[in-house]
Amino acid sequence: MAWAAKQSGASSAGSGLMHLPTQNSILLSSLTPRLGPSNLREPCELKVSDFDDVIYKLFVPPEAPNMITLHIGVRDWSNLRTNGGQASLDTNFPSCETKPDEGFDVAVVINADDPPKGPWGSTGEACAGRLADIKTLLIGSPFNAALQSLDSGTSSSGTVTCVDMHKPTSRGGGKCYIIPKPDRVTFVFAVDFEDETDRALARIFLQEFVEAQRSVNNCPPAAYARGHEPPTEVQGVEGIEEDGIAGFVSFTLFKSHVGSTGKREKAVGMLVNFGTYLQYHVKATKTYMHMRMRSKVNGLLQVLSRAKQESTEVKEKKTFQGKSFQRT
Amino acid sequence: MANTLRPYLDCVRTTLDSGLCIRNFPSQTVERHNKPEIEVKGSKELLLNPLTICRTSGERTLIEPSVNSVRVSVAIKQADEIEEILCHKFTRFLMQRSEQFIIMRRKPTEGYDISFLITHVHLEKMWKHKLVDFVIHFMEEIDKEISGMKIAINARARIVANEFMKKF
Amino acid sequence: MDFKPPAVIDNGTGYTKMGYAGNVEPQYIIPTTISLPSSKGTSSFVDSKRGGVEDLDFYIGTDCAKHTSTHAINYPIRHGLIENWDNMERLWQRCIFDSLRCDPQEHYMLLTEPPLNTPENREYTAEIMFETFNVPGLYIAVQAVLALAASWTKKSVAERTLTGTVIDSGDGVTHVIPVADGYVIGSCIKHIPLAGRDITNFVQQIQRERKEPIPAEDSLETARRTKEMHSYVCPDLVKEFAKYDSNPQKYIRKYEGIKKGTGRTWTSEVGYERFLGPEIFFNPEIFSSDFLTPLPEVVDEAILKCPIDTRRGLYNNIVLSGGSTMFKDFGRRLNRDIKKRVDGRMQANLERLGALGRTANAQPIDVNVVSHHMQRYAVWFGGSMLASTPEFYRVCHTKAQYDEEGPRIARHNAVFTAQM
Repeated sequence: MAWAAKQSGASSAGSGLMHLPTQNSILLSSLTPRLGPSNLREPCELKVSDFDDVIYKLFVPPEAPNMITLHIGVRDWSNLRTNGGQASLDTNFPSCETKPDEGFDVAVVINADDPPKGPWGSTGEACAGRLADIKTLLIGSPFNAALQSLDSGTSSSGTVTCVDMHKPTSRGGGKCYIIPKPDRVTFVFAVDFEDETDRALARIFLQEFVEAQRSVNNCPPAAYARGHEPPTEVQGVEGIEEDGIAGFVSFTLFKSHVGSTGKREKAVGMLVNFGTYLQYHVKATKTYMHMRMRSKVNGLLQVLSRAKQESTEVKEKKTFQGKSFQRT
Repeated sequence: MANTLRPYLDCVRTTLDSGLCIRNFPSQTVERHNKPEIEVKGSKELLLNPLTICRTSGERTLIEPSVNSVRVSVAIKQADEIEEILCHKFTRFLMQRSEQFIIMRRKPTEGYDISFLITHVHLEKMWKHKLVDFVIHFMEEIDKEISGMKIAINARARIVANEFMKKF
Repeated sequence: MDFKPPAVIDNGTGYTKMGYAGNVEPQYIIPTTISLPSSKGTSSFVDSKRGGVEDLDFYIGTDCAKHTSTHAINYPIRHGLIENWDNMERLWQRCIFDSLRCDPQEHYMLLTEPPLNTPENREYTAEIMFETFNVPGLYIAVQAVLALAASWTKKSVAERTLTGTVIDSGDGVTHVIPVADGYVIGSCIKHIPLAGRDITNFVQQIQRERKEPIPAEDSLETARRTKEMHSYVCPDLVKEFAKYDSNPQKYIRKYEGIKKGTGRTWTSEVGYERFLGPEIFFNPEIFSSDFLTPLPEVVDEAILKCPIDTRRGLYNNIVLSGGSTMFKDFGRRLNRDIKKRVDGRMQANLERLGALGRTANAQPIDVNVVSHHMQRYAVWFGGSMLASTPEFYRVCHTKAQYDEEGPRIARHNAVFTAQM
């Protein structure tokens, strides 16, 4: 239910695609016919990618077209697994885990004739939807675990968990630090882009997150810190010397932000896809700049063409019948 | 600052007006070649005194006249990191299309952001006063565009951040 | 972790095919359309000082049809060439982020271009890909060359070659493109203004003339489906007519449809149009009055214009690509007709020499039309195949090269070698 809401949340701003869906639409379109009511039984071998260095291989063998295996490659799986990854895999896809192929980290095998029952319901379609969102599920498991214990009141000032979100640039970045406290959880994202323009744009964007908390009601407080001065929460954490990265942005979630399962899952989805969201909008801004520049070039060219003298050569003109003549 | 912009541009205009006094002048060293002397700088007597017009230390125009060509180089004001990047992006984008701009150089002269090279061939095909108009208009527009783009990016960042925060 | 699969995007006039390299089929086939808000002028927000995200308000591909009340459809590509760069850049943006979900900074990109694309267009493409999306590497491949590569599935490794004649027939136009060692012989390309859309129209015309009981609003759709499901190429027009007349039950098929609105079913007959539709390639006079050269003749003429040392290779490897070459026996008929022309000409030449009292021995020319399963997405499939070879990374332009030299690197694209 929660993911169904996310699915349709593509355009809430009323103007275009602001939020990218969290589900992988390629996986969804291959899984739904196989798990849904149309009961497609066709072999398939599909290799696709997703954001944050995630890769998938969907394999349905010709000899058993009801057995759907999804191999997933994800960054830093050993860390994710111990921080709630294994648990969320077991609750969502009970006894589905299988040995992943070479180059992949996790694999689940689903029997299309008897889809597993998870917290989302038992229909095959729901299962397909959940599988297509497995990236959020796996990477989000430490986030989910931290927010869950916040909700249940078992959160305490424990150790800082570091999640390796995406590939660091030459300067670092790409990590998220989860800092639990009894009444709140702070998520600190170390953000960086390889490209200079991207970095400058990202800095502007990050600062606006701090501004945004003033105009949006009940949103989690956000803070921004420049790359060379990491926020106090993460000072002293191993490997934090990320000098020169675009910056740190931190979101602090309180109990009110994770009041229900739906709210919590949504928050996890938002946090996991924060990097992608930023990346998408940085690139979209550059497209916008290109559009402006193109229109400006046209404008300037028009001014320049005004400077051209009318050619004095005699133009050849054609009559209605197609004969040519020269006007003198 | 706006009050100093007019005199700055006026000064560029009058200097260009007098500087754009060029004629056909075939190369003295290679037969049947016709090169812009300001670029080859072959002999001293063909070059006139270059002139720099400054508004601020960052914003200045260099006008280098010669017998058959005039080079105009503009340094655009860049107040902060983002303006620097925007300026770089924009000038690069323009120079990529310098073929269409006829008088634009593919590369700026050292120390400047964008350069024009006006030769006698251009003046034979185009109206001198309108060409000067274009250069002035260009200088105005590029400043306007960079600050406009900066504002737009900030506004955009605000919307993007708000949309994200609303989702929690 | 393995190297991330490159993304392959084939932007055609009608359809955009995209997916990850290494797969057999493209993951998306969407119309190359972008729809923009119809209320505002296209560039009003660009000039406005007020910032906003109005430029994200657009739909692409199949979504366009769902928003026709608020958004107007635009076609950024015309006749294979990109015309509107603003729209194209946004189309790519949506393709990369929404459809493929690939982080453009991590994936090499293979794009396609029509033969005779301009170098400026290539520069603009590189500018967008490297500056906006920061792709690590880019290769712009000629569609015809990819179509040749796609035909390798049919051959042994030793026969793999990038010399051949590509017949690319999509919805709008048919091209005959000779390629020698991976280079398109630009001066010898031929265009035929007949393609899929014309066949559909012709089938519709026949059905209308026969007064088939097809509801008017379904007429075009019925014609298209008839073309796709029942059409084939016959070896001989007269004999085929005779076959149908002597045994109608065997050849005439039924088409069933459901009328929109009332939900009633209706049936119509599918008769001669089964073979007459594709026949317009071989006898254009039955459909068109201004283009009268049959396809085999066009192919033959195109090859004859090419340098003499390439001609045998071009006859030997005639490759089909595009949806309108999918008709049953299309390749066989084309092969036979070209062979007939080639052999006839050689015979005539030998006789002429004989009359002059000289004798000559000529080695017969092999004509070989290659049909294969991947014809419909041949260009994409060829791209997917080439992009998953190590060779691909050798020919790609990298971000480092772009930063060093600028967009002009895209003016030249190294050709693939056939040995892989």
